[in-house]
Amino acid sequence: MKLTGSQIIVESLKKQGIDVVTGIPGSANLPLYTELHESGIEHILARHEQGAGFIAQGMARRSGKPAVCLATSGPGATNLLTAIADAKMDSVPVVAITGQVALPFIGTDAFQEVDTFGLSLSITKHSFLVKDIGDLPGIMRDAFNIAASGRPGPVLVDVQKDIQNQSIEIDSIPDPLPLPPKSAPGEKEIKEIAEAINKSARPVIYAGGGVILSGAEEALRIFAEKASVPVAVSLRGLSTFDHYHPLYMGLIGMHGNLSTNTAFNEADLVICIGARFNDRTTGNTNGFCPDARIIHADIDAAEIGKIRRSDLSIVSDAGDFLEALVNYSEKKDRSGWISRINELKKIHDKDFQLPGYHPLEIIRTVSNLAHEGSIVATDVGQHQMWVARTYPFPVGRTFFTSGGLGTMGFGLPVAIGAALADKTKTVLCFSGDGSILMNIQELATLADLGLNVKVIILDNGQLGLVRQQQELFYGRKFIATSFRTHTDFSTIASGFGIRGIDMNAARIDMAQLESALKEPGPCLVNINISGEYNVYPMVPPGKENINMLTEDMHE
Amino acid sequence: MNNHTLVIRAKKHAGTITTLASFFSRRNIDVEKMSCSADNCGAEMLCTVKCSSPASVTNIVPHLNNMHDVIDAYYSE
Repeated sequence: MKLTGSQIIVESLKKQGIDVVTGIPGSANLPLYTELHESGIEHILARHEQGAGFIAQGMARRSGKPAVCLATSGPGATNLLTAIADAKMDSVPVVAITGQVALPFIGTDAFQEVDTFGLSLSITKHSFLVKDIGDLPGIMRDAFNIAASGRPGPVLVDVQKDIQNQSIEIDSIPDPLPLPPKSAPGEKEIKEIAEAINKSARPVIYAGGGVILSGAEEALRIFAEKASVPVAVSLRGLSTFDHYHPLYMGLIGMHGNLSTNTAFNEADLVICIGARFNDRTTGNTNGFCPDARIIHADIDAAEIGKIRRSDLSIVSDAGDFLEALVNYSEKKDRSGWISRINELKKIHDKDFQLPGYHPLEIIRTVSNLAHEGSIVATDVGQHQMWVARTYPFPVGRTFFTSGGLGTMGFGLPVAIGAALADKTKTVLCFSGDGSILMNIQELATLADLGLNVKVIILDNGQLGLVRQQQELFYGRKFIATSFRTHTDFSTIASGFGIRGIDMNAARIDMAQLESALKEPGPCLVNINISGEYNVYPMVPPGKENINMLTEDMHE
Repeated sequence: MNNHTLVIRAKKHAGTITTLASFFSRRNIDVEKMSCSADNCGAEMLCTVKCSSPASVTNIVPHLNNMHDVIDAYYSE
């Protein structure tokens, strides 16, 4: 059959099971868009390409399958880059297809020409520049395979406009490649690791996003319960373990629990599963778990020993590792160690009698009022850390945050993408007045779609997490962190055609909040909070996790 | 093992060398010399990369092997 480049792309998307794509058309990808017209593939028109990239991330994060975003050449492609870099840092399978100027214009500084391939190289798992239409079917097949296989990540396919228009005779569109088989964890390594765990008196589990990517939440629970090992999580590991489980220690690291960081300091063995010893988790690496042996299990061989030397390591999918490990782990009574951790929780994680207008209490209130099993997305800032510390996430792909890149503007479009991928759930998007403005145009996309996305803005009139650093570490020299004017977000929401509600934290109308959270359709709730709250406890940058600043030390 | 010099076998196509250059640049590894020659009837290329300082304090070979274009990478014997 004879197909154009655009037809090859669209047919390849169908072969890969893609039924929704998101993006913005422009000159260099119009042939592709024209082919989408009667393809049966739903197109979500974002209002900014970065929004499109994050909507694709939301779909991929919720479904676990590759999602697709489209952009034209030049600014369309450069606008996508932040979302692509974010996907790389958080291992999200996104396939970005960008239009490029036609071959005769390459290198001439043509209108909307930019070296998308070159710009993308260090922020993708792989990038393709299609220079021959004959390569296109194989490239499309490979792009999805690379994005989804092993440790997932973003793949960019840059397609020149003339290649989109050219035709070629091909037999068929290639079938999707099977994902490479996961190598079974070696029995010898598993036995060594199990032996180390069996001998340990004070072991802890440090679970990361790899557990969620593997779908290994249940395997983690079974292992932790059998071996009686307490579980802490990284930011990306939130929702791997039941928030109310007696073995759960919560978040570790810069804004983790003091009890968790203290327990890690006292541990004699750390079992790191699907995590990468990120600096926000370890603090000063030299002081991280100084007395502990380290076991590191990760699907990516490059992560082993990258930041922290491990005593025992294994390159393995988290689920395969845990399922093999549980067979060799002894049922242990570690009641002494667990009692010690509970004691640390009582000492350090005092359940302050917080007033109802405290951000943590507002988040608890929202979690109580929202539909059970709601999905949560956040932006980046103080609200992100408050949510991470407080919200009782249901287990498994229910919490989406920009963990690695820390991209403000992430929340709203990712929430839209998550809602597209799972229309049975309500998606709560917690944001701040700084973050929401970085992709607020996607409220228009949300209005188009009418999805159950509830945007909750904790509005403190400033870039709170930066102001907090200025207060604590930069001699209170506040600059460029306070907004001079107050933005009326509820009116903005109304302008986009979305119900907007404005509240003061001290006078929250519970009935109104509950109806906003539960009634079908999108809604924006702006809650004005005091600008004086800091996120505590906190590890000062460069310090060891044990040296946390706490609220009573500073207020 | 000479951790100043890496040998990389990669698929040969437009962009492979740029991808490798980007890899070293992002990791702040100064490349003193990179020489590449076609191999396997032109389908592959064999690159020798001499770094000004040890390629990394950690082993960067697994990172190179993560790249789709790279078939094999190792430190020079």
